[in-house]
Amino acid sequence: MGILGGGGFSLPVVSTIEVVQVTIELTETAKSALSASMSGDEETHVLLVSAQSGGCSGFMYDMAIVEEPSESGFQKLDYDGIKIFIHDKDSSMLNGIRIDYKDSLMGGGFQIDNPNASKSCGCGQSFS
Amino acid sequence: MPVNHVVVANPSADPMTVKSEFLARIYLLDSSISVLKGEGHVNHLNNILSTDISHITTGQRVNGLICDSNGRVSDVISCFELDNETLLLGISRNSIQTRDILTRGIPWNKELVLMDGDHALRHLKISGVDSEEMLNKIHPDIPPLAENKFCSIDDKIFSKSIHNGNIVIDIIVRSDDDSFNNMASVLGIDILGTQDWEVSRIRMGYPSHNEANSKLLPSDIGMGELVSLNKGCYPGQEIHARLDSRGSAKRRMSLIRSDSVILKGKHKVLDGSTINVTSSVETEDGCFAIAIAPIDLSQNITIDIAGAKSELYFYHDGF
Repeated sequence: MGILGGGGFSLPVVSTIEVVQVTIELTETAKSALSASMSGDEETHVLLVSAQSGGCSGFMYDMAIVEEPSESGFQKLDYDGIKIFIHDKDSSMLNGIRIDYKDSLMGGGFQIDNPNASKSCGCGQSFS
Repeated sequence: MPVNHVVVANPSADPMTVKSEFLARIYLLDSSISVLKGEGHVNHLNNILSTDISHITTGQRVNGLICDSNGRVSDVISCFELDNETLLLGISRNSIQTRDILTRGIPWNKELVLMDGDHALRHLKISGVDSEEMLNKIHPDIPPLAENKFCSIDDKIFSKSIHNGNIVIDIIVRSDDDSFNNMASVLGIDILGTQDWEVSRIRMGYPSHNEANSKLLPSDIGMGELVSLNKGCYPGQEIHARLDSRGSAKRRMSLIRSDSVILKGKHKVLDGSTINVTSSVETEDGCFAIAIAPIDLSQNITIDIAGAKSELYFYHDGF
């Protein structure tokens, strides 16, 4: 059976997730870069922004253009036809972020400025 | 703060007389007990811990650290890998912060669940020179325990580890299962509480919230070996890598013994160095304390702490 097995034995789930209504800022350069990346798929695809454990500072950003997820729990934001999805789980960590795009060969690409972060690592992909 | 002085070297002092020569006792601890369950749970834990647990398999136990982004230790965790879930023992006063870290970073598309075992499970510990003999008396069916593994018998978990040369046996039981306590009671063995454990843990150099509170580095509290610098990014990795490349540890956890009360806090000694007493407990054999001391301070010396003569020992060499 094991220490956690058997009928009638269960442990309470720890839930510390705080859900907030997300607002984000998407700069014009980021908007243009996203439009170029989506190349006409704006109807069916979304930008999914998330955060998960990892990196030197505790949490890592992840951004991906994916087909619109069918799962529930997403907050859906629309910026001139570009849809951005953020899951409720990540809402407190990502609320208020500013997504920018820098067109540079060195250190360029999408960048996230997060007012909730007390610290970011050198590469900018991790925060705490 | 008054400047205290190193009084006299005491080369005849034997650390073993204050450290390990105490007989086994059983303690009921108020540890934080959690269970992380779901696909990818090991990977999730591995992203958080300073220790590489990516290869942990069922039946294994791995001790690890949770550090903050400044590389300071915020919790000391023991991971017991069950079938598709990991049972985690941590320091009770750190549990809210640790559980927050464990739950906030769960990827949105992973069905990972963290469960609270504080009330349904109990953590017992046996420590002392004859720990294994005591366990065998209480539970003769238990095979010899190996380090870094655990044995699961009768819905109980038994695991042996060695800390600063001391054998420590962790036992996890269900709160509604008194069979282990009853077996101990039949043999006249008392189950002691957290106050008694405080004496034992200070004498062994076992960190608690006083040492793992986001103020001290792993090497400061004798846990440097739980840092895996080759596992990739984890919180505090940049700091640990820099410390590793730029030189050796500057401080070490040391044991202080005195016939007088040892106050917690910082105390200066003659050469201008400072020791930081983080934990202190009074016993019939005197007062024992954990101090974070400069690594170049000699061991087996007598120092003067706030007017009281005290002896300083290392927990073990190369620590």
